[in-house]
Amino acid sequence: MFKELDPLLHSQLRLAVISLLIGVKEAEFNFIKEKTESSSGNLSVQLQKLKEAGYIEISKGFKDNFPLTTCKITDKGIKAFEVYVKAIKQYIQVKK
Amino acid sequence: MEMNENKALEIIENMISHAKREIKDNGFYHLMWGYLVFISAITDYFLLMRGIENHALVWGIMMPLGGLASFIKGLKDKKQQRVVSYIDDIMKSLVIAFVISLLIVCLIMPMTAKHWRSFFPVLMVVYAFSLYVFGGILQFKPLQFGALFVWLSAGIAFFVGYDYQLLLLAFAVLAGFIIPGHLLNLRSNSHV
Repeated sequence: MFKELDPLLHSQLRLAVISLLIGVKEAEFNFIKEKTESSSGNLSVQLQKLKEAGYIEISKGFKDNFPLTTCKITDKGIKAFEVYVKAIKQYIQVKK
Repeated sequence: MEMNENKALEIIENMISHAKREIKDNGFYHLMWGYLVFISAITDYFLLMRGIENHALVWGIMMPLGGLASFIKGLKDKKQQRVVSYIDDIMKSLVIAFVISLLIVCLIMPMTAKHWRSFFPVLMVVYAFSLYVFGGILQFKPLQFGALFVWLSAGIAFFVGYDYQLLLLAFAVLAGFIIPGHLLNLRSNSHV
């Protein structure tokens, strides 16, 4: 029986964001933007979707008088990522 | 672009390796403190050999200088830091534990004549402990080998006089800080 892939994570940019955040404690918006090679607008929209799903936390503050957005994965996000990885592993094994 | 399971795996691997690459150390603190302690120990030794009374004054100049430089560099790094890893947190705890241990050794031991003779050996034990853990966190063997040399120097230093302790300290920082510091710097430059 195949596990259904989480539609929230089965998108290139959202998956990239979660994969990046899984390995760190927290990351700044510009760091995520640079590593995922995305545009600010698209990234903002996708981060908001992940936040609404409870997969990430977004905090806003200031650094050197400039606005600073920091993102952090939540326990729910970690769990969702683990389930997603298990599911794609299952698909790959069947294809072999 | 179509998103299939192979593409998903590729994205995951790619992003995880990006996060991993952020965990780096260019050996700045090891090199700076290594050279400062090395120069201080050698200068102190030569001044002592020449019979100069205030031979240890060099420490009072070099160590605050190192502390100030570390503080400025720390502030600069914090400003530039765009991502915080879990390893950063462990490193921070290690640095705090190291500095507290160092302060107790440096401030309290010289106050008592009884313990003054053990000052440098105990200092080296503290150095070696943090070096070994630091090497483990960074998965960098030269730091751990360096720590073994520092421990060895500390063990010998308990049995010799102040003059030889200075030479052992200079050897310890060369093996534990300066050489691994340069190797860390090389590794950092090759991981761009």
